Amino acid sequence: MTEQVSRFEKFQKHRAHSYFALAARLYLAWVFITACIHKLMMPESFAVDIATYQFLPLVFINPLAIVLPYVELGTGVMLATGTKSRSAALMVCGMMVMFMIALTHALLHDLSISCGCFASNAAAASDPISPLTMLRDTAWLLIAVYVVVFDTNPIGIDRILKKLKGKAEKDAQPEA
Amino acid sequence: MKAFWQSFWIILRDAVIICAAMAVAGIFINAVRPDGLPFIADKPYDIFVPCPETLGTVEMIAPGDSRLTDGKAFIVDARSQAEFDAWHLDGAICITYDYLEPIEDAELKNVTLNIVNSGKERLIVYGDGDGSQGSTGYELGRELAGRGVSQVFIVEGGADALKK
Repeated sequence: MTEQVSRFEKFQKHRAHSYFALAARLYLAWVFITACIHKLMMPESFAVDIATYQFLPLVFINPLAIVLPYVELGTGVMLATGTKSRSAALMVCGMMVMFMIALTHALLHDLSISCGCFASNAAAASDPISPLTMLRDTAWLLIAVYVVVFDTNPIGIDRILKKLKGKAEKDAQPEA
Repeated sequence: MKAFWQSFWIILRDAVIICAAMAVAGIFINAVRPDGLPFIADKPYDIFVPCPETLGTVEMIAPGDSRLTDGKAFIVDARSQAEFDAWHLDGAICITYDYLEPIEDAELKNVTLNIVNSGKERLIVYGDGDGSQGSTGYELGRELAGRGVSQVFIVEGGADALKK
């Protein structure tokens, strides 16, 4: 068991993961930043998109329409810059689970709507939700899980800060 | 593995803190922007959800086609009961299609079940007119095809062509 554990940790800390995770992070960052643009520009339109799912009670629609785009933007920026990237990836996991629940509800109720992920329903009538949308979200969820589990030494701001901190501590130590 | 879970709780804690900070930022920016939303909607949103397409696709079949008489077809006459009583193809059943009075959902479901359980290989529909779009046979055929019946054929020329 101990050997198995150490093998996992050894595998988890392999240098190659940083590079794979960087590619995964940049892709997810691009997805989330692209997705939040229309939501930030047209909050009312996004609120209508949420209402179209007929899933949430009215009281929750506007708070979600106000908050979600900023969470997406923050997540995207953090993933791209390598700032608390594992936490950002965990937030992606949470959002993906939330989106997939809403999609399942819409698919089960035969709602012929657009997912509203990258453009509002009115502008994206040619992109209806389907099991493929679910498959796409599952793929993004798996990519985010990979970052959470394996990006232990992320390339980016956190790594630079860690190095600077280490250097400062080394400089502060009195010479023997 | 223990180390992973220890770091996971730290990651989770950070995620919650960041999420809360983003939410507060979002609420603040929304409050100061001129086109900001009210925090709680005062009336339900007018949503537009198009109805799913319920009509299926059909194929045309010539009145002299052998598939009409090989005994493997479930034949439906879409004309009125009076027209059906006056003349109908052997083995056909009457399901009158009326543009103004759509067939009730339960009845359509029942008919679909009968067709599926009949063991026939195909469904052939004929009606008024020439069998093209807009004729009773064509419209009924598409409705039944939309219910999941496959291999739906419409007789070209409708009942008039069959009589000849």
